[in-house]
Amino acid sequence: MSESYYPERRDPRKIVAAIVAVVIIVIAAFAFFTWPRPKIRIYTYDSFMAYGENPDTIDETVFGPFEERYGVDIEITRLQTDANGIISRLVAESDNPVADVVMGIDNILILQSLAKQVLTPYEPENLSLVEQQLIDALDSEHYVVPFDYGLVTLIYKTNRVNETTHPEIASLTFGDLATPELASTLITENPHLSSPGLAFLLSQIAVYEKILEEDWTTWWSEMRPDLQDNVYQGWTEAWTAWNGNPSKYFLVSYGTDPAYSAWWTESEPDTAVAPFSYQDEQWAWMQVEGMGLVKNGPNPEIGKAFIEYCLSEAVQSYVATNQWMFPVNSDVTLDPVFEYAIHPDEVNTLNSLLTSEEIAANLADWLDDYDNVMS
Amino acid sequence: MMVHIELENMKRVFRDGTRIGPINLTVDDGELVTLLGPSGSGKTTTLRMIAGFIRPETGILRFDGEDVLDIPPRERGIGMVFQSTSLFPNMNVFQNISFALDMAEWERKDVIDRVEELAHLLDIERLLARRIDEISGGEAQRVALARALAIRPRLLLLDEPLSALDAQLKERLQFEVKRIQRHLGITTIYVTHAQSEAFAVSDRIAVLNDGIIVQEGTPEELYDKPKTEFVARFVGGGNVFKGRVIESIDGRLQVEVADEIVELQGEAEEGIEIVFTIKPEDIVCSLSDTGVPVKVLSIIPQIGAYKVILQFNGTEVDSLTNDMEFLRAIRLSDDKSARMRFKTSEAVILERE
Amino acid sequence: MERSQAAEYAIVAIPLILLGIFILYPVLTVLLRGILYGPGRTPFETLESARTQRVIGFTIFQALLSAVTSLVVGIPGAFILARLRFKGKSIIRAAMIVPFVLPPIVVVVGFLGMFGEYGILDLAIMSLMGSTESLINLASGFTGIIMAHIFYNVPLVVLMVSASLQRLRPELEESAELLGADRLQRFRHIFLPHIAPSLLASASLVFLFCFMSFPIILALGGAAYSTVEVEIYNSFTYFDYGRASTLAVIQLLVTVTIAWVYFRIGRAEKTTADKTSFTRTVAFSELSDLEKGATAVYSIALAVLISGPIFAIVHAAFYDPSAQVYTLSGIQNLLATGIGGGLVPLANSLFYAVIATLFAVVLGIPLAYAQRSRSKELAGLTSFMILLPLGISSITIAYGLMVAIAVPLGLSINPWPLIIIAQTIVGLPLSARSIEISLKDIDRNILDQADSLGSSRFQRLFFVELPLLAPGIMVGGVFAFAMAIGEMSATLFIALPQNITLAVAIYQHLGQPGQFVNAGAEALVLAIACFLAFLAIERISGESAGRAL
Repeated sequence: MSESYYPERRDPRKIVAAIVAVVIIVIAAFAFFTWPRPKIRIYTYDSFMAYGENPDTIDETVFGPFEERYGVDIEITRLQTDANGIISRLVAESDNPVADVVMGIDNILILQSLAKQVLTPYEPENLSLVEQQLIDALDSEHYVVPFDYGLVTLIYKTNRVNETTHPEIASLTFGDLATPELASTLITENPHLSSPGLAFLLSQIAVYEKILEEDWTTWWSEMRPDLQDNVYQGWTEAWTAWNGNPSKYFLVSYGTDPAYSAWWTESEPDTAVAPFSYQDEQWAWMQVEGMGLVKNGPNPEIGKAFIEYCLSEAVQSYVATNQWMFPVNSDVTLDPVFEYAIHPDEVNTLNSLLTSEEIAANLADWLDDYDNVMS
Repeated sequence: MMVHIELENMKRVFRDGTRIGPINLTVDDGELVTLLGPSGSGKTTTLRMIAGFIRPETGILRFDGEDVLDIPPRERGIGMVFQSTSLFPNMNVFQNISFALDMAEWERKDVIDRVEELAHLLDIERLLARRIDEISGGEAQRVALARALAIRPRLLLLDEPLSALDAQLKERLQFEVKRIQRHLGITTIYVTHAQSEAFAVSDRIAVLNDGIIVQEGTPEELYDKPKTEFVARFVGGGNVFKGRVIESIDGRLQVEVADEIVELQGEAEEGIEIVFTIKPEDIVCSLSDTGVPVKVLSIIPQIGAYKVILQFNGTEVDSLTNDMEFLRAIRLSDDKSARMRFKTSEAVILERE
Repeated sequence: MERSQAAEYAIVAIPLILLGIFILYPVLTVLLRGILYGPGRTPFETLESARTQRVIGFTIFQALLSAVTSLVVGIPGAFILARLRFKGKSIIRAAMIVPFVLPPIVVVVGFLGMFGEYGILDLAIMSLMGSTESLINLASGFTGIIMAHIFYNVPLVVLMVSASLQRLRPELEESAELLGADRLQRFRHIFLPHIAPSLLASASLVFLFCFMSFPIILALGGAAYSTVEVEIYNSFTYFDYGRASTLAVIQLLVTVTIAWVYFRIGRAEKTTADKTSFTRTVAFSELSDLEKGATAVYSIALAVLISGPIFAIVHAAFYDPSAQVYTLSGIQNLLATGIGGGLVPLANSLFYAVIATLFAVVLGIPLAYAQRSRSKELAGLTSFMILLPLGISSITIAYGLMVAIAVPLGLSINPWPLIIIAQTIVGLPLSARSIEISLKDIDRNILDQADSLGSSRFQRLFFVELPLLAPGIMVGGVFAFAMAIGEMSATLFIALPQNITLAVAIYQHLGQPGQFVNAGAEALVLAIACFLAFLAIERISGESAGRAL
């Protein structure tokens, strides 16, 4: 009988060696192609500059000139989380930081003592481009300096709510929202997880404690039966739910939303802004988002230059129609659609009613009280 | 290729309390020695100690004078066949037989030659390309044997290799095993619990009970001269009697067994109790007046003779006979009474245990 | 012998040490740091807070409710599967494993697509009522959570309880019948005592799964419903490490207790079970009309609940509920690069899962050996280490890997190796278990035979043991692959944008306006991958695949 008649035993060592070789090559190749080149790393949240016309190329457009000027690669790392998660990540990495600059820390988050522990104060030379009022509203110690700002307030669908159907819209109060008809039409965000959600909670506390001088929790207990299932984790989830459900009229959102709507539909916006109305004044919460230098970051000098660059018109002129917030550089001319937006100067800011110290001292208790009322 | 094996005082106590040894055994070059004993007597354990799967706590194991206890099984040069053939299910017959050769990295051509040679020897050439689940139990044993022999081991260990087979096949394969062992002249240790199998294949038999060798010798020696009651029952005819010596004159004994006096050949002091065995063929039944009275319980035809089971003094006694007249008469008789006599010269007086 | 034993211990020690480095060390680091130094609330403050108490209460409540409901829904199914003769039974039995290999986030998509707003059920009711607006939404909130848990666990209950029923000796039942016991009495005195251990075992397993449930609660629960695992995630995100650590410890205490109960029951059942007996079965035609009706209604309802979401995944891949049109854009998006595109997640998913599977198998083999070791201590330690990931929140493991491994090594700028490690850890319990089952079936004599034939330890391993283990290795590998590619929690926590996997992409798309069809398409890819995995398991091992559960 011929040799080929019998099956030959393959040497396992060869098979194993082949598999090991292939695996090592694949892993090595993957590692090689994905291994980060030397870069200036910027941490920000997932939706940073994500709402413009070319979100895929916006980083190149806005920060390309800086890369050329300094001969470095900029990587904007959009962490898959909100701003809280950025601080959390910086804390986790504090033994060996890899990021140089962080963007998107707002005027409430910076009140957390932990946020300042992972940052280094830095006052950019061109900080004078920014109004002192905004700097003070964010952080007078310059752990973070303003990047953009805007109002957190209610928006509503104009086809469902207008002055004809609901005359009270012109001077809306929290009490109006608690009526049986409107209570179930509101969508908001979880104050633990979302900055507009937290801003809304603080707005309500400011109004009740400082203007009405009432116990702020009563409003939430009134709202609870209707609101409980309409609190979403983040702004995106909340917007999706609000947009997809015609029976939801109101959303806790940003004062620039009508401008955004007008920009994309190229027509009159179908949403409008409703600030709260008390003592014949209009009130809303101002959110100032800032950027800061990471403590012990690997490239502090370039980080500083980057922060300065971000205050210049080269970056600030992109803020409005990509980030849908107001640029802090007052030299920037806004797109006409921003006529539909509400600017913080047009209202009284509720922030002025609560001092930073007050917020820092009470925030945890307020959140606990909120939880107790809402569940 | 053969080897001289010596086991010296090998001993091992297991966690569950069972103990083996001390075992002393010598196996000569080319000899086939069987370890015979009931289940639990320690024969498989002894075999596994020789193979190296179990390490004895004390004692020495020598192959050709060299102590091998520290040598792992694969380097001892042994071939082994189990009752469950333990063929590798992931390989076909050829690959099973060639396994040891491939492990030793033989040249491919030599492997094929060797496998075909063995296949020829064991008459399994037509099976070589089959899968393991495509061959019968008897064929599997042949394959297992071929596989164990492939690398030309110096020692072949067979652990109840035929126990799972039916009687006819078993008998044929016993003969085959013996033929091949002779042909190759390989030193072999064979484990079985079946006396007939042991007698069929062995040059020498070591009988084990409770972890020790109670007697060793050729099949004839064991059969004719069992030393103890255990061996007599397990290996011999199984007829064991107890009695008191009444008279001892010139190697002739008068022994009282249950009120009957029988005459035996042998040396013993007067007045003592002895145990003795008589082979079935040395017990004569008849309807005459001489001998002790017994009752016939049953008659079993066997090849060459009839086995007559008698009741004597409350115990059963086997006898072999070809006395057709007697058989006919007893079949017709109502009370089945008969008489039993011993061929006195054939009684074996056993050691007290 | 002693020499090679030492070598074997060394080989077993390597995976144990790796597990120590990649599970114990990171988790202990994080928990101890969190509890001792914060930042955040101390254990006392955490336990004192009403919110924490509520979350723990809700977690236990929903897990209990899910377990009880799964039992109630599953027991009739177990009886049908064990006692009714019908065509295609073996296919049905095999298909019961499908939900188990489906990633939770894919199930979420299926649930939203079936029972959610503009889901299949909703569309059907809308067209019946002539409405253009959504009328029904069962997939969100509490109902959604419990239903998704039932979807996952009813098949588990059916499999476990029907297996126990099949071990019931028919003589018992027959003699009870002869002695005049009526149906109810027979159920009460014969069936119930016999299946009680399997009921308790499946209930504790369901409880365990639901207690640890993360993607389903995160995606369906909104902000209103939060479990311990979700709170751990939130607390880490909100840098309240003290609270996260305390919650993780509480979680571990509960899971260890339940796991202990489960294994105690398992041991009790093993000793009393009769493996090979015939089960008394009846044909459908032998049932009374009432029974026929009840069986039919039950089977259809169960089929809708179990297969509905699976088919809905296919539907969701092509139907855009926000625009209410059928479209291929979801499929196209799978191949799109750039923000929100599916190509990078797809490549990542495959790469991570394949490598993680390889690791899970390579580590699973020595661990399986260690589990069958003669040394009780080694076997116990190994089982503990393998099962540990089932009881620790994957968020905690992920965070531990970040803090204890990635940051010191500078890996946090591109943490893909950590994702692979996390996915390996997730797949390891199943791969080691499958391999161990295979190993148990190997005849010790065959290995001795190989030894006596002169094979070295290495040769024996490669020529004899691994080929004999091959089915177990394949099944284990496929299970590990399904677990790895569906892993969302740890990956969500670790991944930078360039590292996200399909499972994470699905979660993100679910939260974004108009992206549901993209989530659907991505879920379809994962579902197909897992379904292929299921087919592979079936082919390799037939009915025995369920044993690994």
